[in-house]
Amino acid sequence: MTGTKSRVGLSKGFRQAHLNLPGEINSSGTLTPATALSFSGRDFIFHLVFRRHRHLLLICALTKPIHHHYPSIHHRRLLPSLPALQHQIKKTCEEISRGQDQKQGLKEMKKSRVTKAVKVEVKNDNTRWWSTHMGISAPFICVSLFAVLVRLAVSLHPHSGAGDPPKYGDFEAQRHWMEITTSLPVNEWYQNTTENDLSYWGLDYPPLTAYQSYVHGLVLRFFHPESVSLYSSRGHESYFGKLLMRWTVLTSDVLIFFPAVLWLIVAFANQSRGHKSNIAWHVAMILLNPCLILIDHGHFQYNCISLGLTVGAVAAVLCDKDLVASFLFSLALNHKQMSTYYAPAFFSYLLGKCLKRQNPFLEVSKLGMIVIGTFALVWWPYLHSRVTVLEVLSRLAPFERGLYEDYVANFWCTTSVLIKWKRLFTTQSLKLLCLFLTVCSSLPSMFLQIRAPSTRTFVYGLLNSAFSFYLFSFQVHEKSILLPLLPASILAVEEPFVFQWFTQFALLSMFPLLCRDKLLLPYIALYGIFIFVYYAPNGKPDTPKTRFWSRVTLFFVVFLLFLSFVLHIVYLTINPPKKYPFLFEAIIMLLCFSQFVLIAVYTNWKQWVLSMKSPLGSEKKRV
Amino acid sequence: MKHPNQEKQQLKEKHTQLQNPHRHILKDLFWFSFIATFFKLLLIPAYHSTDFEVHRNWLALTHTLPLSQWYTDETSPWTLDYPPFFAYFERFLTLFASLVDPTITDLYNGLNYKAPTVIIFQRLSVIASDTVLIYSIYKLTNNMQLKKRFLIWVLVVWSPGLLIVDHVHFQYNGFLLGILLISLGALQKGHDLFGGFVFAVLLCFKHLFAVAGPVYFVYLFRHYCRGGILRGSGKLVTMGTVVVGVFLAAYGPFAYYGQIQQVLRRMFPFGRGLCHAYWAPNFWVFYILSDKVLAYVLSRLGFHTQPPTASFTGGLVGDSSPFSILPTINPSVTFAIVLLAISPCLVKAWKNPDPKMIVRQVAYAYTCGFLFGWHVHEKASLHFLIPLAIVAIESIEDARHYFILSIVSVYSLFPLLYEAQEYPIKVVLLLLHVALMWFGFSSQFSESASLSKNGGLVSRWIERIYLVGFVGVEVWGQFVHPLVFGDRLPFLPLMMISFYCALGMMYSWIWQLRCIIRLR
Repeated sequence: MTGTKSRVGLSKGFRQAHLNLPGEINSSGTLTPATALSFSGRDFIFHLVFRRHRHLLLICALTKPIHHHYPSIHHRRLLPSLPALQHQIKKTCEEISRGQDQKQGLKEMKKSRVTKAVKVEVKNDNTRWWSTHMGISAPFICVSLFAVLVRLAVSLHPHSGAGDPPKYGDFEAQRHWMEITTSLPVNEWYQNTTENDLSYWGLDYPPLTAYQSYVHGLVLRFFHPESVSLYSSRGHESYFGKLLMRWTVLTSDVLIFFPAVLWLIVAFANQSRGHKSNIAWHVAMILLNPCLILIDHGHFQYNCISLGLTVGAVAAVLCDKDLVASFLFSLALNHKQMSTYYAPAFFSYLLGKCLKRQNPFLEVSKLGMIVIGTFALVWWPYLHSRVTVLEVLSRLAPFERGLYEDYVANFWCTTSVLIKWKRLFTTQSLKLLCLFLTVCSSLPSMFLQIRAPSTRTFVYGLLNSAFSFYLFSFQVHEKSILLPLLPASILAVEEPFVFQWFTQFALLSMFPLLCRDKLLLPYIALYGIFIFVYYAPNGKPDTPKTRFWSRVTLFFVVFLLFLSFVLHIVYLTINPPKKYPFLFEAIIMLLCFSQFVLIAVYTNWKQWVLSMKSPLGSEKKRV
Repeated sequence: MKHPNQEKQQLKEKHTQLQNPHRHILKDLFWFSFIATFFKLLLIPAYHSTDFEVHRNWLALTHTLPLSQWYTDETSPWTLDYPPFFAYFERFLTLFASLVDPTITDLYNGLNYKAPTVIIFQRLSVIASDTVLIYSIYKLTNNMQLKKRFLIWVLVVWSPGLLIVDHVHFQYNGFLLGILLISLGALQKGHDLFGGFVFAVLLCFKHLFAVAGPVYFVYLFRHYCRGGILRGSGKLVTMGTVVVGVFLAAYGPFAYYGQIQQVLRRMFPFGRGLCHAYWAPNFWVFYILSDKVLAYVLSRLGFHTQPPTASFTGGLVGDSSPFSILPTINPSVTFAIVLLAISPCLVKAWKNPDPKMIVRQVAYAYTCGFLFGWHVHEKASLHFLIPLAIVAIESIEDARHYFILSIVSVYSLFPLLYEAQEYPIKVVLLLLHVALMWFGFSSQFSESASLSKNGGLVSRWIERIYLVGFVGVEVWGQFVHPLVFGDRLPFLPLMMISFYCALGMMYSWIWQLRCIIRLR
């Protein structure tokens, strides 16, 4: 184990500080590796404070043997100021003495799983060792470079609708938006005019997408004007034009999604959820998510921007910066209206937190101001009259496109095998029904958040609300599975198996779509990379294997994996019977739907258990 | 939360790990190689050079024609110019190729065939043949510490040079270097006969590897054929029989048809010039440039100089000199210089044939071949870059040298992928490699005091400036040059890359030479 090794090297010669500590540490004098080890076997609670020359080291690790936490010492980013540290040492010592008398206090601390590891160098002449060893930067740089490489390699493959006139695919839609936004004035972007035929890939995303298209369109116009010229560029597919388009996605990904993930990881490290040795693994799980890469860099979309903004908002929530969080999430909403999937979680968490404060009304109005301000800023060009606002709004709600698209693994599409919803109800009543079911299914999660808002359950809340939208809302697309998948990837450290299971079936649910895009090869490759990175040596956090992998579950897991493998092969090789041309799509959809429902039920239950366990919520977390 | 069961499980796992370390090593190595493999799959639609068609033509040729016509066929300009074993290897691949798509192996209809089947088949054949490299690296590292092992795997299995040359540009270097590493691994473990046998096989796959032949000969003669005159000569005969046997298996059929002359003519096309179209970053870059500078200076001083009539990248030798001032170089001169450069290493191997040094010595021989050889390709730098990875983790000095050498070598491969689509791929590949090396070496040598005292991995200021200079060269070539000169002087950026990388190569050569002389 590498962690143990570095620990031994570290604690050599460290001397104890002049602090009143209970127990054997006090009597041992010098802390040798051996004493540290003997401690790790006996109890799960350690508070060691020692000093060497002018280095001060403080470790308080709870609920796990010390060698699990030791790698965290290399993490140097979270240095508090010196007085704060002294305060912390004092507090820790008090906690220890209290803990020895009162088992109750210890238990509570155990429950909250507070883990803190801080290294302070009052004056350090040997910084290089630390910076090059195992901070956050090294794993993040390596993993993100690899993630960029994978994205670049995927972008060599065909995009959606390549060489498929007259409507082409999402690639053409995005290119057309660049063409429209760079050639026409702002107020005509959402209007049906002679220059802007809305029936041909008219803009149907909020203004931030339009601005993004405008900026990217300017870049394209500078380097390759033919690819965005009005009218003449429809269906434009040149080597250089395609390349530039691909690079715009990549740069948005690197400039928005990657920094957001970095912030999230730092926030996680601050919270000390999971150990630091998993940092590389966790970053890889988020950045190498095969679904997101395939849709953005293969199929061609800009999900990385809205999802990146959402990740940023989550990181802000974890860092307790609620105003920043609401700003970023408003931006995400204004980039893709699909971000509404997360809205219940953000809303209920922030509301619940405001209610816990001294002056709830003030807090709520502060957040409200931020949200309204952001929206006003983004919608500024359209705010001068009601007509224009309604025009844009009507573009954003494509109710004419029907209850669902293709074979999406949600409630409506799956049950329509038995119940023909579209024939039984009018669109109007279906809309209401969808709304009702979506709200109902997300209510439990929202209620828990409002009652006891905590950062730990917040990510579960995100997942649950995204799930309820995916399963029950109106006009869901296969690609929408990316939205529940994102919080699941953030939860990868806590729920590795669920995340992996979910990713596999999310991929499967998009398989027919990706086959149509001729992305079979990257599908296989990314699936392989994902599985192998998931089982990286020393990467994955330990799961309680013995409990989970009982024989029955193991049987089901293997059976379902085999089934999905067979489905892949059958879909590729066998022609469906003429009577049911979409038979295999329907089977894939059924399988995926069943798994999604299972996962959604589990995560809802988990959120309930977690928020019941720590009734004091986030207040407890902030040590 | 921690469960007692879980702890037990962990202990159990650790126990099995200790009991069966080889299985564990294999598991980890599979992990590394599969990550690489899946990434290689993603690269299938990337740009490929004319070498792709060369190998396709060889497939067709070995499939359709009888053995006697393999080295005489001229249907395509890309005639067979590798030794017989490689031709047999292509013949073996056609067994599958003709099943996948018969057009691939069609000598006439298959010319410049570009269907997805042929691209996927040939790319997959390269990926599959890399198994040899994985096997060799497993053999080499299975007794090392975990950390060292991982580092070597990162350097070899994830080598950006091999990815660029094999999986984008298209060649079978991974497979061939795998054979070389098997041979070196055998020598390191003292299995001299097997090592010699494998090296003979390698020579019959690709004759360019023959540069290390003298080192092998001296080492095996001194190390294997020890123990008195009688025993020694007995062993010499054994070794000789094995090597001759291998060569007979390769060239025998062609000797039977009386084609040895033809085969050799194909394999050694000395009609080519001193340098390749893009100058490999070696000694001759300085030679050519100094000739140009001298000619310019002398003509400025009023001397009459004859402008060269021939190009040094092509044309027949002997007709006219491509140089205006300095003497002409012909193949025999380069041969002599290479031998001269290798000789210190030969003396060392003669005096003290040490299995620990053989990797360095072989790598040094390839370095000499690269620096002073005739018509060297830039890809040949992989021949010493990959073997040196094995010794790169031995000391901090080795790591420092390898860090610079590998950047130089990979950067010198950049001109191979000249299309815009692959540009970011090669740059990010190099960056990732640098990051992995940096963090890997730093954590490997973090305990040794010399790293922190001497200022990290790149210690000397001149090395730092040199490495930063790469950014300058790249920025000039990609952005400033097109702005300043437009389409004029298109060869100038390439020349700059050659010159700049040649500096690093010379440094590496001197470092290796010093290392070989100094180390016992």
